[in-house]
Amino acid sequence: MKFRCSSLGDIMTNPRNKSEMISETAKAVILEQFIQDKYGRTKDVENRYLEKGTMTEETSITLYSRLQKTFFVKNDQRLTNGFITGEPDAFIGKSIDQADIVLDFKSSWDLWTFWKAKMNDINKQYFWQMQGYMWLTGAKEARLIYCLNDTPESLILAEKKRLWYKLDVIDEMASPEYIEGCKEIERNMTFGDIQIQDRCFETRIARDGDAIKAIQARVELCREWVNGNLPSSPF
Amino acid sequence: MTKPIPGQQAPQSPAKQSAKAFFNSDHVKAKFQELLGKRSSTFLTSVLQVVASNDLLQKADPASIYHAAMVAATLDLPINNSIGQAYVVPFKDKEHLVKGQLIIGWKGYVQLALRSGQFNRISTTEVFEGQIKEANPLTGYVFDWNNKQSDKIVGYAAYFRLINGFEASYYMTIEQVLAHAKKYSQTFKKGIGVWVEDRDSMAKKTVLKLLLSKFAPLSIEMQKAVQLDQAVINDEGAEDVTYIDNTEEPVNKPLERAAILISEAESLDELENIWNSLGDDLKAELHDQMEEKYKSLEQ
Repeated sequence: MKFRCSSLGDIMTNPRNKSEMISETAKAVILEQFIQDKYGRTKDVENRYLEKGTMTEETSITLYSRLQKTFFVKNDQRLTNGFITGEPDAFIGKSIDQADIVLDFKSSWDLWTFWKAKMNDINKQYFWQMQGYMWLTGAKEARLIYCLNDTPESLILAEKKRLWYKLDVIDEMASPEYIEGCKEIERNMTFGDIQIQDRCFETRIARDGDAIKAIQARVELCREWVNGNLPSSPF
Repeated sequence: MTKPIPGQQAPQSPAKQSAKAFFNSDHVKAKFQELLGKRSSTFLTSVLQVVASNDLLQKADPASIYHAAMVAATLDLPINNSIGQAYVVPFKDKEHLVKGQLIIGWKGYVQLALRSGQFNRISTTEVFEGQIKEANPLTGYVFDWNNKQSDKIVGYAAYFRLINGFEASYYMTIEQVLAHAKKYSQTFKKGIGVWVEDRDSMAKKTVLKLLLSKFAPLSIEMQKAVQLDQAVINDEGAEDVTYIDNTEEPVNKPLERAAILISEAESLDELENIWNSLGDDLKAELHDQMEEKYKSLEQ
């Protein structure tokens, strides 16, 4: 069983009870991975925040390229070693498997989440994800790049629909509250009026050998747990 | 009972209600009044004139005309054939029901582009025999507009320049335009519809739309136009849409990114760094732009 870099943060959580081998969060990830490996089915996790991230990935790369005055291209190569798999968004260096620096883009939902990310410490999930990427690529540094991109039209429409339900509007054009709300949604979800320098920041994370060793050890522990607890058949 | 989605709030059109009666209902008038204010009556008169002048459109489901008109009104593009910014044309679906299909004209795209405030100039034109000075499918085309040798159209070109100085052009030969229409337009394949009735406008629109999709910063309004152009819109929220002749193509993001970087380069070193990091395919596409930028930075 190999784990995706994006789920490393979950398996690295410690169990609440010291008598437990691994945490409940880790067990949930293991179960997902187990089902994927055994049946080839992937749990479809979708929400508006993830959707925006996926839809505006290229836009983020363009924004960062403009600020760095360097052409970056999206990586589409999935890397794997004996323990983990991952697909960094982009890289600096000779090739993805001999990268100097890996880049991972996070598209913030709005100004508030963007600034919250700026002011907070590095999200632990992302720390482990980046260590995973650096392990896979050999990179010495990872850059977590937060971008504030215009929200795609379909997501703006979905927000308007959400408001429509919330206000229980019968005739949307006859509801000043709804019309105002829609205007506010558009204003809060598009950022063309903000200069690009204010729509991006990066956090640099250094390769941490101990952290990578800890990932390896935890993956081995998870496998041990699987062998002792997950039957090959539900019967 | 399940709550209807917002789009289903549109007035229902009884099967045999005429478009005229439908558009004269107080509810419909009020909807357009909300959207357009004083201009609503002119807008509606124009829609009804378009319907009255087309026998097939008169048989169309009034609700589909209404939805198309609502989108046009949202974009503030009048539905008026002589203005050429937006059209509603009839289309028979698989069940042989006639529906109104929204078409944004090339003038509509120009209008939306100019309105975004980011464009300094935008245009599209036919290219006549003799006007191509140099035709290189890899590095682009050079035109001599004073060398028209006949009335034979050999292709269509579109161009824009942004306020920030970034400019881009796009050229398609007549064969490429027609191949595009054949690929994406169901009605063209059948030898009917707007591509047959007004090929010139559709060709200009195609080349302009592709240029904008590939290189231009698209405002929310422009994105909406690209998304709903040549579609039958089934609800007022324009969320339930049937694409009939939509020519939307995925934007080549790396190309767009590279074009932006070249246009924004401030020194020759910077330009060369960007150029050296591009793959051969992008270099071929951007050769002309690169040369122009190089010359401008050299001066």
